[in-house]
Amino acid sequence: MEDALLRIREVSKHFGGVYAVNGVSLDITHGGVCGLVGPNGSGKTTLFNTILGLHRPDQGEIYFHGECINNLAPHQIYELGLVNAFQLPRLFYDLSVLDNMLVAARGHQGDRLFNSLFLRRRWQEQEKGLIEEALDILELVELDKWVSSPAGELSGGQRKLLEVARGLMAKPTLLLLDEPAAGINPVLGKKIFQKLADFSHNGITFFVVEHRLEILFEFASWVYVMDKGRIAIAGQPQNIIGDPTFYTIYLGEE
Amino acid sequence: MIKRLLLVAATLALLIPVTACAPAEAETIKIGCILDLSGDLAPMGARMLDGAKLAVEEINAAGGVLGKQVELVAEDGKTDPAAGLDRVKKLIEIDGVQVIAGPMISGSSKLAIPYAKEHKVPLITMSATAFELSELEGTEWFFRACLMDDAQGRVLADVIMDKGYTRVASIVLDNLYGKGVEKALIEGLEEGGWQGEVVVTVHYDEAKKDYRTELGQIKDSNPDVVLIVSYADDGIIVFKQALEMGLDSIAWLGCDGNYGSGLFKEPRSAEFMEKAIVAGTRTVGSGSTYDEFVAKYTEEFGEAPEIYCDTTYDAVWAAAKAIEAAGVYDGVAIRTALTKLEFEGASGPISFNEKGDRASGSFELWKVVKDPTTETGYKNVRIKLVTLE
Amino acid sequence: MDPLLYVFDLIVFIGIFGIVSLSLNLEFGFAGLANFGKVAFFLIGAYTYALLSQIGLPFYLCLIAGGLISAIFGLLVSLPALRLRADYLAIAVLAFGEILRLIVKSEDWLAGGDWGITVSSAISLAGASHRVDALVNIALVYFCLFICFTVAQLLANSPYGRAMRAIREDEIAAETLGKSRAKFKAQALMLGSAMAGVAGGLYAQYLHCVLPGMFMPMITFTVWIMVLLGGPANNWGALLGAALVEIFDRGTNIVKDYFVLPIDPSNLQYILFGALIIFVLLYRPHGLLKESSIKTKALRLAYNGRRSIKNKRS
Repeated sequence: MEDALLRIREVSKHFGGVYAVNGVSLDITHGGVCGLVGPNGSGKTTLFNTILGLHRPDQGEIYFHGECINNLAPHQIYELGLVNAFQLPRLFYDLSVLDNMLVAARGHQGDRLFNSLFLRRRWQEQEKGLIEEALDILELVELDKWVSSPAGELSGGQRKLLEVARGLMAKPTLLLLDEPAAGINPVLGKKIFQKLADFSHNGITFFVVEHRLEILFEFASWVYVMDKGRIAIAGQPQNIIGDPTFYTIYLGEE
Repeated sequence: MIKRLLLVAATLALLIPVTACAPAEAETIKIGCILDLSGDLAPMGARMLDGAKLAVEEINAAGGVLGKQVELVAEDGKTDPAAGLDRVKKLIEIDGVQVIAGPMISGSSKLAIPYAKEHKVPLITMSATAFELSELEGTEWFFRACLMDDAQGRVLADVIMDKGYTRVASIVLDNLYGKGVEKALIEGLEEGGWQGEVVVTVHYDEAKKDYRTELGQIKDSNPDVVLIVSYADDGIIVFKQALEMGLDSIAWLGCDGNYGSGLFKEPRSAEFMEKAIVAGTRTVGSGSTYDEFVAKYTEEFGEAPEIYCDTTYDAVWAAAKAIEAAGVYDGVAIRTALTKLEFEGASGPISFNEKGDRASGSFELWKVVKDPTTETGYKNVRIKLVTLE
Repeated sequence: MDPLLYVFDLIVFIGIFGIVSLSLNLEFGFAGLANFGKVAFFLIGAYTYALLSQIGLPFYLCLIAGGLISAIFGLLVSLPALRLRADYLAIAVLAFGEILRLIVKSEDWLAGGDWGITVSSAISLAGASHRVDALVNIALVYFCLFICFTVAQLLANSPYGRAMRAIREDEIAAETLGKSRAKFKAQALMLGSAMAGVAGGLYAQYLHCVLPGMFMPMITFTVWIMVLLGGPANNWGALLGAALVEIFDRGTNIVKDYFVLPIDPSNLQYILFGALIIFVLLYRPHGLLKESSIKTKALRLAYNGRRSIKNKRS
């Protein structure tokens, strides 16, 4: 029995009596891409935000690497290796594209007050290496020409790409991607997912919200379907597609 | 482009003080004047400035000083000690002034006195009444056309002892002026061997605009006489609310801060004062010089002078007379001349002791009466004149 | 009469308020904290200096203590800063400043009450002329300014500064990328307050006195204008703002003597100042100088010779 990377047990989250997430349990195992689908309002984003630590679960537990993360602050959850790319990009719009990437870098010695004043050499070299990494990823998402532009100057699609790129920069163990290819042309979108698949061979696990099932077919090994705050069905993508419940969920009662 | 323009403007502004030297052969004799024309004391300061302007007019009409016309260089102290000090510096270093009427408030005076001593320019304040200023190093460069708070406090103490009150409460401004008069009153009572009790002392913030809490404290302590040290604007509110709370059945003592027609603008304030105030004190000129001043001021500016207008007038006159007596426009000589100066000013006989404090002067006890001939229906009248030696 | 002395005085004020301006720039420009109680930390530094120098401590210890005590209060203020929305925080810190001022004003035993405390100069050379005294003060103030500026620049041009700006932009996103907003905000307020405290000490020894009336809320607003005018998140901008505001303040007061105006000359200052603010808001809403970019050695190499670095690797 494999130890799940992310284990969610009976997690609920309500806002003023309305249950956005209602008794969700799921496991994400190491490696590969896991999909999360469901109609709008089914609670996917709330679930992600709860995992991230932006909301505290009202009921249930969330375990990451076997450790309960219910009460951790988001920055602590990041430390454990769980990173997120928001559906609506939350970039640092006055900072340059490259700076946005560098903020995400893990374990930067220069992040500490003392080091920024007194031991600057300690992190100057490290920063050079991090810039290299950032440039590589930016090339992947075709943002390498925009390196010094403020993030606010990017188009909507480019902002999504930067959001994803930033998530990759953070060298996560598990990366939550909330509709990473939304608003991006299909060719580039497929290329993104190809890269994600490559990264997943390097040890990153992806948990992806994505509406376009054909993409999930190609890349995801497992899919959860959410409806009205619960997990309705789960399984391999080809089995989900054959399940009539799936269509009822998306299209309402037939 | 805009950046460059601003840089040029900034450089020019910086150059102005350097180039703004007065020419060597001055056409006028400058008398500096620092009054608070903005900030809390702005209304008071504006009227006091008129007193200064009147003095300068008269001085120039009489031929000026040392054969030249007098120029009043007026600066706004902003009711802010740091700004007051900056004005002193500007007057001395940029305008080359050798005598200054001002500052107006004790805070600015405290900062200015060491500077005045260092740079040898005498200051003649018209309204900084805090007693502690005379204890500062450099006080021999600081002259007062006004009497200090301690004198006023003692006069009030005498009133209390004469009338036999035994339970004294005070409601005063929470600043050097209010607390100074209060302290002097209490000391005066102690020295006079008074057997009564100070039941409560309340200090209030003049910016507050509502004093029911403080007046409630007064009411609860059950005094038979209350000292009120206030300015005009806050005084109006205190009196109005005191009337509403039925506090006019107790005796009240006023002071120079709440003297004047400004307090009668609000009918309920005037009504309260007429009923409740048994006596108030104020520095006053006696005799014809004061009445002449009032007449001239009223004619020139259309309204009667308020508090400290007379001392401002006197401060400017003192400066002019001292320059004339010194024979030369030099701070050291002017200071010496001030120490020997004696004349009859609008606020009474003017002369200074070795600390620069006003050596002589008179107080009047006043109260408020109804008078249908005035615009507000009320006026201040004198009960008694008290002269200090 | 010595106009140069007045210019020296102006230079000292620019130095002192330059430090305060830098401190607010750090808190607001870089960390996004709307500190509307700046004068409180200025007051704490000034009063600490006054009290300690009264008992005989040498001036540098008094300055350092002023900075430290101010920093402690800055840390205390940062605790509610996390829980309160920006506008509520602004009101709360503003109130804090006023409460502090009223306490020192009313409690005579604490710090002289209304009468304040007399403070002697940090460095006084026997028999020195007024100009030399002024120059000594300039040297002391600008030495402290240099240190504060260096610290502010080092912070701004470092990953730490980058993280701080990220929190300013979007604190939730920054938090999910591993930056603890509590830590950064607390540190920003501590550093900013320390600088303001040192400036307060310099102010106290220069004016030779601390009085409650010297620390009114107007000082906070004046420093805000300095930062907004100069350009938030730009340390040179903060200094430029301080210089322009001080020069403008004094310059207009001098200039009023040379013009015959239909308006009351003492109002000229306020009118011109208001016009200046309107001008800035209309034409340069981001301030005179733009936000400074993050300049680390590595970044500079990247922007200049990106291709060469890339090729070296492959």
